[in-house]
Amino acid sequence: MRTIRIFLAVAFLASAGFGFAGQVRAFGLLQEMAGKPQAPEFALPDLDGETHSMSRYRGKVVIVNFWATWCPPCREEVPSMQRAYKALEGSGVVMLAIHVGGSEEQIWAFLNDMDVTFPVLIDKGGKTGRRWPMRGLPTTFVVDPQGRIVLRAIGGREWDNPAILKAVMALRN
Amino acid sequence: MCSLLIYAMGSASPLGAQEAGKVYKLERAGLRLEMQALAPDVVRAFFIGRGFSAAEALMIARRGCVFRSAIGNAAGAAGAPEIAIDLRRWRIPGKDGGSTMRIREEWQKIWRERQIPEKARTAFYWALFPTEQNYGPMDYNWGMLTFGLAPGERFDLVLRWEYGDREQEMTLKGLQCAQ
Repeated sequence: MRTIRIFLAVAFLASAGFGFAGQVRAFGLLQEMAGKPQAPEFALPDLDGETHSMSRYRGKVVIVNFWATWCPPCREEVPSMQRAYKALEGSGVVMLAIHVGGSEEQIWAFLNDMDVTFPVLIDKGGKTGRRWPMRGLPTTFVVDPQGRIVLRAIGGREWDNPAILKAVMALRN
Repeated sequence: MCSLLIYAMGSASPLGAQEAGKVYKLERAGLRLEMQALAPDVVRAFFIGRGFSAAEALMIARRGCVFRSAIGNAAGAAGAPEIAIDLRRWRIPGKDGGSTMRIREEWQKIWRERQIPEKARTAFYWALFPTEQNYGPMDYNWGMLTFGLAPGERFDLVLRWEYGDREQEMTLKGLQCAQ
């Protein structure tokens, strides 16, 4: 079974990146969210058991990333998210990664070799994911200090791209 | 209708023929698509690892004809038109008008009837490619496509999508479920 799973991981990773890696542009990395809907509230535990909610971060810019360990582009963007998190530290920007489904053990197993310090939340039943305007993985939203979803990215990005950091920082009050 | 030769990047796959099928890639009228049939054993392992019983995972593997895919907007810069995809409009031509794909909502109905645990249903839902989605420049999703065909079966697939305000259609010929 272990061999099969290794094969599976390799098979999925074959799709990672989708050929977009070399096409990064300064503009068009994030899409404006039509209508700027209010970000749905949630209360989810992180891997250490601490509960995070949207209302807790009102007044701050919040990056909300929906992902799963078995999704290749999700895995691929984790290192750049960590770099972005470090770059944004102390700037009033919050980063939350919400894993849809799965278990703490599976997530820890993936993160074990990665120096991830931003909060990783777990949405075990996938209900939070379905309440957000999201249909597939990975999808990331940027919420402004008023709690509105103003930007989104469907698919993986290099989150420490200066153009992305600039766009996110510009949302601060 | 436009039939287009798609190129099979067999050498791009790190797997042997027994583990997965050819990698199919295309880029046309704003659409970028990459798909590869997954071997039944791989599909079984994936879903057993996410809470399905061995029997249920076997059913998915035997009846699913599962491809992994990455589909999205081929544009790499702002200003390019959006594309809109609705998998319910993709068709497998054949007798009696052909068939449609098995979308995640159909599978969810099956899982609810079988009282599959929420953990497994959640994993299945998010593992499948979204049924409907609009993609701006650089946007794409990753996910599995299922066709409800037997292992080894060959088929054509009619793709339909919107590119800006224009309807697009093309046929991928000679796809094959892994076996």
